[in-house]
Parts: sequence; C-alpha cells; structure tokens
Amino acid sequence: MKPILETRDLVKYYGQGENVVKAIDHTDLRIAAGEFTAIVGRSGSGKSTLLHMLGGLDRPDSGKVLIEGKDIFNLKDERLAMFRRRKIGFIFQSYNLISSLNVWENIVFPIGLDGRKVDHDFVMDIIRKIRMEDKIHALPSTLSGGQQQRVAIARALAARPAIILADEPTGNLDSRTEMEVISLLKSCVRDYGQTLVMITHDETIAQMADRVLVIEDGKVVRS
Amino acid sequence: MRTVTKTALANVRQNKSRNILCGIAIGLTTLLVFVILTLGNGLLQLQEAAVNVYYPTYHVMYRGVNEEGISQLKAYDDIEKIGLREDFGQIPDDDATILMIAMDDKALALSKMELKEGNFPKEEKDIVVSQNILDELGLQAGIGDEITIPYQIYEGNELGYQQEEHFRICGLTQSTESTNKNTVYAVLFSSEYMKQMIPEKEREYRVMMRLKTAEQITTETIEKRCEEIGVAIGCATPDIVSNTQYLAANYKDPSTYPIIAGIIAIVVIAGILTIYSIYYVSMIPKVQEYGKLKAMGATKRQIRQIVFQEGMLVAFLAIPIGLIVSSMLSKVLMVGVFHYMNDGDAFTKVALTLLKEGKVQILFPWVYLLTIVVTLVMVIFSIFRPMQKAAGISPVEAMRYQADSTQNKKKKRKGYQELNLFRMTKANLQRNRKRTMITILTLSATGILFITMSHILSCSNPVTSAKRAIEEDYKISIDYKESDKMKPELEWTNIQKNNPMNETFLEQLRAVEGVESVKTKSFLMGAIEGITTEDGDSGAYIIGLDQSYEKALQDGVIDGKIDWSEMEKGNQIILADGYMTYYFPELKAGDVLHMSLETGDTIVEKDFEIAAIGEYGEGIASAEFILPKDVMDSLSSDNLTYSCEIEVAENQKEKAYAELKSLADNTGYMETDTYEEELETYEKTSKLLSVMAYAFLIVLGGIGVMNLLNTMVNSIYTRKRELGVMQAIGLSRRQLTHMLQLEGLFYTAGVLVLSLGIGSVAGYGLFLYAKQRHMFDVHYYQYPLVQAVLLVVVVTVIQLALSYGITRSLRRQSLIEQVRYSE
Repeated sequence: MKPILETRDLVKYYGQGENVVKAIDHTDLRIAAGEFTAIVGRSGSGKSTLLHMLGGLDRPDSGKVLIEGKDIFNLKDERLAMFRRRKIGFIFQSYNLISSLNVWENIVFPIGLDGRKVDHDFVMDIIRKIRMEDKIHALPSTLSGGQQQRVAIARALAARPAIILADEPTGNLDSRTEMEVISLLKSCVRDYGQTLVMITHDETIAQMADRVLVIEDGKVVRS
Repeated sequence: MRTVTKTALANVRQNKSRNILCGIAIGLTTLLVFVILTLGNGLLQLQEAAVNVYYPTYHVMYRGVNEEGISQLKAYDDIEKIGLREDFGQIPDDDATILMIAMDDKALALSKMELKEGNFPKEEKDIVVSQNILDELGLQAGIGDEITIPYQIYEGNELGYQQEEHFRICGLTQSTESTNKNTVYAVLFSSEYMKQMIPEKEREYRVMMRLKTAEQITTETIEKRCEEIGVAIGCATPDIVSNTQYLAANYKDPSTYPIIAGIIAIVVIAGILTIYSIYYVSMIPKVQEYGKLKAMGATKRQIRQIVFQEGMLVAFLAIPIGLIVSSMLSKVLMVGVFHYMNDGDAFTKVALTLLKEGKVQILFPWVYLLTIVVTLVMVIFSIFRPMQKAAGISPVEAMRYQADSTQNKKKKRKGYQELNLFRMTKANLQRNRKRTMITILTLSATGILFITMSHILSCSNPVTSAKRAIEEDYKISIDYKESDKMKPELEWTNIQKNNPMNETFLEQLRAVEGVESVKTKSFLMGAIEGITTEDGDSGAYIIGLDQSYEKALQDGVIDGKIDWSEMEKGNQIILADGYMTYYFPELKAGDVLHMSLETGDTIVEKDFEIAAIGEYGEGIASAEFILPKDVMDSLSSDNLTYSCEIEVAENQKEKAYAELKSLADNTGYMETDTYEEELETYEKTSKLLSVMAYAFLIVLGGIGVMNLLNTMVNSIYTRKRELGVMQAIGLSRRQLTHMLQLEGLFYTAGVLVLSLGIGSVAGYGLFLYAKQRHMFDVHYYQYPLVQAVLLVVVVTVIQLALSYGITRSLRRQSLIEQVRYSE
C-alpha cells in the first residue's frame, strides 16, 4: 500500500558540541493511509519532535517528510500553513482551545481560515458524535477537561484532513474519560477514513492501535 | 536582605521589559515636572534679577527732605537703604537745563548710576559729566582734564548769582540720544563740594528709599508703606514718587502659580494613567506567580510589599536619571525661551546675559525635593490598585489561571456560524471589553489633550490678532501719562488744551507720499458714579468714532441695538465687551450711567444710556465706551483728537512709515504703531506658546507611546501560546500579521475617535471659555485641521510600526516554542 506519510533520513538535533541532543536521528518511517499508529517512548525520547516534524510545525536539520508523496518542507511558510490546515488536524495534550471563541467557532476555525464554506451538516454530525450539541455556544473556560478535549478532536476533524496528529491527547484526563476520548477518536477516524498518529506512553492505549512505533534516543527501535 | 526585598529585586530583573517601560514613563514624568517647575520659577527669578540689574532699585523717592527728616527715616526698622541726592544748582545754558547734583554712595547704587569711563568724584572738585554736556557747553575735554564752568547755586527757590570755578573731570557717563528740546542734563559733583556750598539746614534732599524684604510682599503693599513713611516724615503727597517702572517690572503675576500647578497636575494624571496601565496590563501574566508565592505561605502583606518594593526600586532608578537629564535640559531651555523672546529690547538682553553667565540660580533644591515627592506619590498612587489585586489573588484560582480566562465572567457567546479573520479579531477584543476600553481611554488621554490645546493655538492666529489690534497700517496716538506726578504737562486734560494732533498736523500726514487715508478718533476720560471698585468710582474711558464705523459697530452688537441718528442726539453710549463687562457683569443695554468727564479745566457731568453692548477689537475701540465723534467733540471746546488711523499704499510703506514717524516724534507727545509691528509681536508670542505647548505634548506623547507599546506587547505575549496553536492548526503568518494589524487598527481607530471627538468638544469649550475671559487672544474659532491630520498620521504610523516590530519578534520564535510557552 502506498504510504500517506513518510520520513526519509530525518534529522533534528538541538544544542551543540557536548550538549547536543539528538531528538531525531536519521529516522525513516512509513505510515499507510487509514492506519492508526501509536508512537511510544520515554519522556525525552524525541517522540514529540517527530510528531511536530510530521505536522510541519518545525523544520528538520536534514531529511524529508513526504505527505502523499510531496515533500512538505519544500513549501514556503505561507504554503505550508495552508497545506497544514487542509491535510492535518492537530490534537494537543492541553486542548489549546481559543478562549475567546465558543465551541462551534473553535471547531470551524480552521475552515474559516481556509476561506471555505462550513459544511453545517458535517460539523453538526461531528458535534453529535462528541455529544456536545447542547454546548455549542459555551465558552471553553466553562467546560471540563474531557469536554474540552472532545471539542479539540472535533476541531481536528472538521476540516476533513487526511491525517490527525495527536500529542498525548489524554495526558490530562482521568482514566475513565481517557478511554472514552480514545474510543471516540478511533471511531471518528474510522468513520471518516482518516489516518491517526498518536503519541502516548500508556500501554493500554498503545494496544488499541493498529501499529506501535517505539522511539528511543531519536530512533525508531521497534515497529 | 529580607526575603520580600529579595523577591522584589528578582522581580525587577524578571519583568525587565515592563520595568524599563515603567522606568521610562517615570523618568519622563520626572523630567516634565522638573522642567515645568524650573522654567516657571526660573523665569520669575530671572525677571527679578534682570530688573534689579536694569532698573534703579529704590522703591520710592521723597523730594525735599531736610536733615531732620533724614534722621527720622533712619529710625525705621523696615527700611533697607536710603540714598541721598541733592540738586543744588544749575549751570546756565540757552538750550538745555543742566543740573548740579551730588549723590552719596547709596544713592549712586540705588539709582544704578553707571560710568562709561573713570570714577565717581573722590576729591572735592571732581565732577562727572557726559559728552552731551561738554558739547552743550562748547568744551573739548576728557578724563583728568580741568575745565572751568559757570554755575548758579540755588538760594531757596531762586538761583543765586553766577560764579565760575575749575573742576577736574573724573568720570564720564554714557551720552543719551534725545531729540527733545527741553533736555535736562545733570553734572555730578562730590558730596563734599555740595556740603561746602549749601549750609546744612538749607539742604533739601531727594531721598531714594528701599524697603526690606520687599520680595515677599505685593507691589500694592510696598507703595502703601512708602506713602505712610513719607507722610510721617512730613512729605507732601506730590513729593512722594514711586519708582513705578521698577515696581511694575518686579510685579509678580500671582496667576502664574495656579497655571504651573495645573500643568503639573495634567502631567501627573497622565503619568498615573500610564504607569497604572502598564502595571495593570502586565499583572495578568504574573498572577500565577503571586498565586504560587501565596501557596508557599506568603501573606497578603508580603505580596503587597513585593509589588510595592518592585515599583519603588524602579522609581529609585528612574527618578535620578530623570533629574539629571532635566537639570541639564533646564538651562538650555531657559536660554532657548529667552532667545525666542529676544526682540532686541535692552531688558531681555540683560536677562539673557545674566543667564548665559550663570549669574542667576536656576536649579533650586526645593524644586528637586518637590519633583521627587510628586513623582513618588504618583508611583505609589499608580501601583496601589495592582498591589491590592496581587494580594487579593486566591492561590487555588491563581494556579489554574490561564491568560484571560478568569477575566471572562461570561459563560456563553453567541458567536458566528462562519468565522473569518475579522470576526476572529472582534472576538478577541470583546473577550475583555472593560480592559479594551480602559486601554483606549488611557491611550487617548494624550490625544485629547493635544487636540484641545491645538484649538487654542489655532484660534490665536497672529494675523487675526494683529488686524484686531490695529485698524489700518499705521497708527499715531497721543502718548499721555496720567500717573507721572513729575510731568503734569503729559496729562490728557493738559494736552487737550494745546493738542499737537491738530489740523495742520493732519494735513502734514496726508501730504506724506503713499498715505491713502487718515481717520481720526477722539478720546475722553472720567469717572462713572455709582460703579465702584476698590479705589473708588470706576474710570470711564470713551473713544469717539465717526459714522464710518457704524457698520463695524452694528456687526459687533451682542445686546441692545444701535441707532446712529438716535446716538447722535448725545444721550446714548455703546459699551464694549471687555474690562467693564467682566468686572460689572450686571451692566446691560438700557442702563443709565452718570459720568463726570475731564475736559480741559472743567468737569462735564452727563447721563448716558447704554444703547448696546458690543464686541470690538482693540483696533476699532481702544476704550470701554464708544460715542459718536461729533457728540464727544461737542462736550469740549478743546481738541479731543487722540489718534490717527492711517492707510498706506502697500508699495510705499517703508518710506511713508519713516516720514510719519519723524512727524510724530517731532511733536514729542506721540507714539506710533504699525500693523507689521503688531503682527511681529503676536507671531512671536504665538510661536513661543506653540513651541512650549508642543514640546510639552511631545514628552506627554512619549509617555502615551510607552503605554501603547506596553499594551500591544502584553496583549500579544499573554496570548503567545494561543497564537501558536492557531498557527499550528493552519493560521498562516500573513493571516497572523493581518489579525494583529486589525487589532492594532481597532485601537488606533478608538484612540483617534476619542481624541478627535472629545478633544474637539473640549477644545471648542476651551475656546469659548478663553474668549469670554479674554485669554490667549482668541476671538474667532478655527478648527486645528493641520494638528488633527498630524495626530492621525502619527498615531497610525506608530501603530503600524509597533505591529510590524511585534510580529517580527514573534516570528523569530519557532511555533513549537510558542505552543509550549507557559506549559
């Protein structure tokens, strides 16, 4: 199967000389479309850096990131931002909703940025899925952590990106809510045919993935 | 060091950018307060010093005081100095009066007698003369030469027989240029010689007297006291002569102090707003910090102390810097102001020299002390609220605190179905309306002040003022003097009897090449019965205008109406809006005033009904009342013509002016004025006023920009993470810049709307107030368009530059850093 997401000899070092940290050290990986991949590793192993590279948030020292066969770092900043909002949905550990916007506005924000019309039925469909239909006008500060993360998931899905990148999306949640959010995420990805790459250090969650990549010192040691 | 102080110190370092901004604002305020105090005080000091150098420094002269009177004077405690001058004879001359005088050292000092060359008389036969006298006597001699001069000594009220004697010239005084025929010269003899010639009991001194501690008391008190003493030693009132020039020049305008206090109050309020706003805005990201301190056991008091000490540390650094800079700036500014005012008159020159040579103290310890106190109070005042706020934070709330979220008490937001950048920006600004409004308001303070003050500057147009001050191109008027008891011939009633502004004179004026028309005005003065001031019945000053002024008079009417033919019957008068209406606002059209008018040797009593009250420029009516010229002239058999308004052809002005001036000067009783001179004076004052005002506003604007900068930087840095997230989910750099610019634009628009709106309303109000009070010479409303455009341009440019700089600095950080910020 043709990979939707691929890295070739990707390198990112921080610091210099003695203190150099090899966050990503000549990493090659391929992720197929529709796959649910979990990236696991210890704290400081370079998994977050890898995710940021995959999403085009940070530029590598060398190597390539190909999305649908296209090298994203060949793009200028402006094009890269556009590419990101069309192809990639991000979910962060700390939800990162925009506090001045209500639930609905947070969800449609990436669509608005792209200047596209909002597909109301589709967005409402997602909102029903995350069971937030009675909170459309609520501001983020009035929501619980689990609710906020559900809204963040909806935001990532709403622009129909091909790839969802999630950085420990359940890190701030209790275990019951955690399972609920992961199941939701998984079912959404399946329903909309998207690819999910998720960082976690929770073994149980990793077990739910189609594939698990283990990162150590910037290298994929097991896949 | 105590933990609290250590924490405060650490905070100063940590909040470097906020504290630098605060420091600059405090420093600028210090500078403004100091410079305003120093300039205000310095001008008064310098005026006093220059007056003391320039004018004779005695307060009063008593004439005809004998030795007994002098010993009486010496008994007064409040007399600082008395100087004696004795006029004891005359040197006979056909053209001029040459007095023989002797003065003691104190009299020489008090009268500011100065020699061009040589010394004052030391030996008995020493004399001091001027070149004029030598010329007058037909002598050629210099210092050290012996000359023979004839003289006559006073014997009672008469001159004695002519005698002749040798004298040695020991000094020369500066020759004076005078065209007057009746010039009086004086030769200074030694006191010993005078004493030898005049027996003690026959001496009648002119005593120059100066009171002690006169700096602290008012001119009125000085004059009163001088008269008291004079009367007590037996001087008749005409023999008590105040040194009016000196007293007037030393007169301190008590309204200077409230003006200075008012300006300082404005500066301090602007400073408080700015420092408060800087603290308020930068407090938000610090909330968590204070929460942590509380969680660790800091008490409310300790947190208040930390914030307070942090503020004080900054003030202790900023105030000295402000003081050093302003100390250096003050002298430069003073010299600048005097250079600006320097119109070549001797007095300003003296002041400027004193200033440049450092002979006047400009920097006073009390100014430093007052500035420090004022600025510290201002800092304490502005950090009071932030102190309370920081102390009031609950630790639990603070730990959970995310930028702005607790500020937002709303639970819901209606929002939009579709989002775009504009709506996004709007949502952002709406998240804390109160803060947005406070920011715009504080930012607008300077702008409002600028537009308000610009109104005055724009309304006091020198051309308009000059045109109001003088009717035509050239004006000649009688230079009468009422108060000079030594020259009764200059009183208006005496001039009337033999008025040099007669038909012959007018014919001469008309004959001057370039003169196109000559109009005359009559003048009378007297008193109004029943309208009283502190000094008795109010004076009545009336100008007589012919019918050609009817339209101008009609145009200015604000109450009542003018019917010229009715006025010509001689029972009605027009009251000009000004002094009288200000002090006697109860006067209105229809009131009847009983006036006694001084004509020649008689006093004419007459009732006049106020036909109308009108608003007229100095050029048309230089007096409070206006009568038809015919009516006025009929009141006296003498010539009441007081001034000529002369129109001169544009291309012949220079030559015509010179001829007109020489005609006027020849009479010895007239003064002249030109449109050009008036214009120059008004331009100079308005230029000085605007330079000072704008300099003040620029510094104030600097404080405003600090505020703007702080607001922008903080509003972006507190949202740094959010902005990072937005970019991560697809906000492009261009869109980010766009969004921030839109936000900035909103602030700009808000500031401009408020500044122009409130500023214009306040400015118009100030114009009306100033016009009513006859302040700043404003008469016609003129909107300060140039200044308004300037404000729009400057604010927009600053705003754009700030947005640009901030987005650039934001770009330097990677997205990851931004998203992780404060995580």
